[in-house]
Amino acid sequence: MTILGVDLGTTNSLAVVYKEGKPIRIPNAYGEFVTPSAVSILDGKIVVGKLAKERLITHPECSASLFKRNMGTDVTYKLDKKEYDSAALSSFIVKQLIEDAQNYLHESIDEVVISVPAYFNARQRQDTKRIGELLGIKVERLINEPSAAAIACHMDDEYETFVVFDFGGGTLDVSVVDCFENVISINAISGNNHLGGTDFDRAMAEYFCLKNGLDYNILDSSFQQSILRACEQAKIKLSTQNVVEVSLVHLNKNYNCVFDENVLLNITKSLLESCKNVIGKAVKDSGFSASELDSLILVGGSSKMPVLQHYLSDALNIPILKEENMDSLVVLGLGKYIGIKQRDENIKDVVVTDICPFSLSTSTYNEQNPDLELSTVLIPKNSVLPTSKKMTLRTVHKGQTKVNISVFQGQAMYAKENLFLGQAFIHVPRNMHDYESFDLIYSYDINSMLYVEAIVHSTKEHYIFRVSKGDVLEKVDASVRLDSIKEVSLALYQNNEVDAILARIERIYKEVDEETQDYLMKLHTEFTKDMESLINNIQKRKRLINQVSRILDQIEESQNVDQLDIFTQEENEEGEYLA
Amino acid sequence: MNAWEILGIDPTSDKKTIKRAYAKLLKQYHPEENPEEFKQIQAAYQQCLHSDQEIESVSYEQNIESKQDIKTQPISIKEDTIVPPPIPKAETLFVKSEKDVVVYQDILNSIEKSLPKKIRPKEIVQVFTDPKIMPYLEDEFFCRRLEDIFLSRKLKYIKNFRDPIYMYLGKYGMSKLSNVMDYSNVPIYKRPAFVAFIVVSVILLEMILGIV
Repeated sequence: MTILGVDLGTTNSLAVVYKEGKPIRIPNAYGEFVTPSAVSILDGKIVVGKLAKERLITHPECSASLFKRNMGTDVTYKLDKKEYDSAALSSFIVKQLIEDAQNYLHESIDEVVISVPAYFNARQRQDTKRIGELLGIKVERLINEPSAAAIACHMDDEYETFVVFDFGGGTLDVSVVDCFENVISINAISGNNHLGGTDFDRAMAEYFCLKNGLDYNILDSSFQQSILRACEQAKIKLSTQNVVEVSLVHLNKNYNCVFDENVLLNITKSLLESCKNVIGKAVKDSGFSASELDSLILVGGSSKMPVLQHYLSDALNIPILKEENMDSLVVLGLGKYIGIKQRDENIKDVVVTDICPFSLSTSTYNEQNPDLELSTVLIPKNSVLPTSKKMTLRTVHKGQTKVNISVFQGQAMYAKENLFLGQAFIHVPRNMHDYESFDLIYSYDINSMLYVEAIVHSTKEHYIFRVSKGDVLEKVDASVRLDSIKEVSLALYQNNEVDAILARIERIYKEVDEETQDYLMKLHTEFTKDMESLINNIQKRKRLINQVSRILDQIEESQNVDQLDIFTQEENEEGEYLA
Repeated sequence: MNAWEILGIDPTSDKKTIKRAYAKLLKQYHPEENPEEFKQIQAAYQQCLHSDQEIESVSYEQNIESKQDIKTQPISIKEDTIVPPPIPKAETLFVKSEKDVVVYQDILNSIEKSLPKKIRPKEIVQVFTDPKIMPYLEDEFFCRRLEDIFLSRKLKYIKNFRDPIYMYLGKYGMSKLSNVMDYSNVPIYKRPAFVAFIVVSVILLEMILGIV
């Protein structure tokens, strides 16, 4: 039985197997380990990799790339008059990698393990697994990329606890890993899927425009692209040089700008701070203190930036380690993971426990506002997989016979702000005198499969559902979600101050632990009620608003990741911890 | 079977011991092959690892000793999350209990005694700035009662619309008092002195004309 590991990247893909006690990367027909994630059609035949990447420029109408970004959506790509979705295009790449592996190893491949970003939601994971169906090969297991990187970082059976900082072109994943006695336990994953190296390019491009009296946003797109490209080049050069000058010629005019590390630090301050916050969040979720953490390991292409390295070493209390092969860490970890999964003799004793990087919730009735269902978390994020959680629920009305069970991903306050995964109906006996109760059980297994069970107490009827692709009702992505929060609070009141408080509660709600969430939920309802009853008493309202905002200040202060002892405090800035 | 029994160790706060026991069990019950067992082991492991936080769930007598140990242990991040303050309700925010009203009554009585029959804005401002009274002004109920006391006196009008008293009246929501005292808002023909003057002069005129 041979398992192939596939690191299916947005721009490049790699394949790996575990042989003779170590991960072995598979070279493609050109003898290279990296195969570009591009697909093209040449004379009715599908070609992938380097050739397809070349054809992307010469024949854009029958080529596609960057399709990983649309995994799990209905977006299709038209190649030579035929429509393909992301999973289909990805399957061509996986197929090519399997063939390369079979040619290289002279063995048949029985199973494929694919690595996915931690922030791939349940739907995107389902879609990735569909690659297996399309190819007729077993794709059962997915592994989170930061987990794979963590496995690669762990060398021997030492006791160590470290943070993996995986900063790629478009996403940032931070995971906290605890290793002991051959157990690699992923404790917390946090991330930002809209923060990456390209944001640094953009910040540099805007600075370039500012220096040359241009407005980036109103430039034509080809000029924008050439500025971005020049800035990206400059960014890469800055890893080895101290000062880089960017000069461009556009419409017979010369544009110049000089970048050095100080400039870069100033213009990307907010991005660097976001990076720091993600680290803080992961560490906070993991429950470790700085003294328990051994190091932070930099992974991913964008981690090579000296400005980021210097910023982090100033901001953190723990030493920072640079891995030699930052780019291929995920694929090496993936290879090791396959060895573990195959129960290979060499690493038979190693056990990896992974976690669920998101919360899974259901919608519950909201007495305050029946149209706006509340969200109740069953599986909190960072639960160790496999996991099952049970909750007892009851019907809303007496005499109700049908219950709608909706499954969501996310921990926003209102169900509709979370990502909808599917719904099902269960039947309960008609009972005019009392509410009917039932147990709702969510089980999320090691293969990223979510099973939803419901057991009606009176009849002992047992329903089991599986979340699959078919149940799509609506798709909500991050940008739409923010708008919906605004809409909700405006519809409730036409009062700015009250709105601000409610919005603030909702914002804080997402960041705090369960106990505080309960409290905030109560606060939210009480506050809404009181504001309604006191509609005419301005003085009392004001006092209540002040009081509530003071409480929120307190809660927020305690949530502030800056106070974590992982970050250098003002007093001990002497740099004694620096690597 | 409690969590310690599942892990097969005696209750301890030593994380290394717990981790070692957990690791040993995981090799026997690999999550790939024994997912159900793994779930139980994992739950027990979490419970043991954070046993210092859930000490109440274990019986008291057994753990008096370990409880004392725990106090000297460093507090983990999870533990020092804030204890939520009680939710303020509109009703509970303000005085309700009789005891408080009695305290108020004493203060109010002393104010009532000290005030002259005719009061000028200056005296009202004095009441507002009295450090003894100031803390009570935060309460609306107290403000209403104080306003009633002021209203029961003869009030002098405020001549200057920049008088500092307006600041206090606005701050403590004494709109009734401010209306009564507002001099500039009363049209000249509605002021009692003016009305009295007209009435007297009309009567006088009539008398003079009548006599004539």
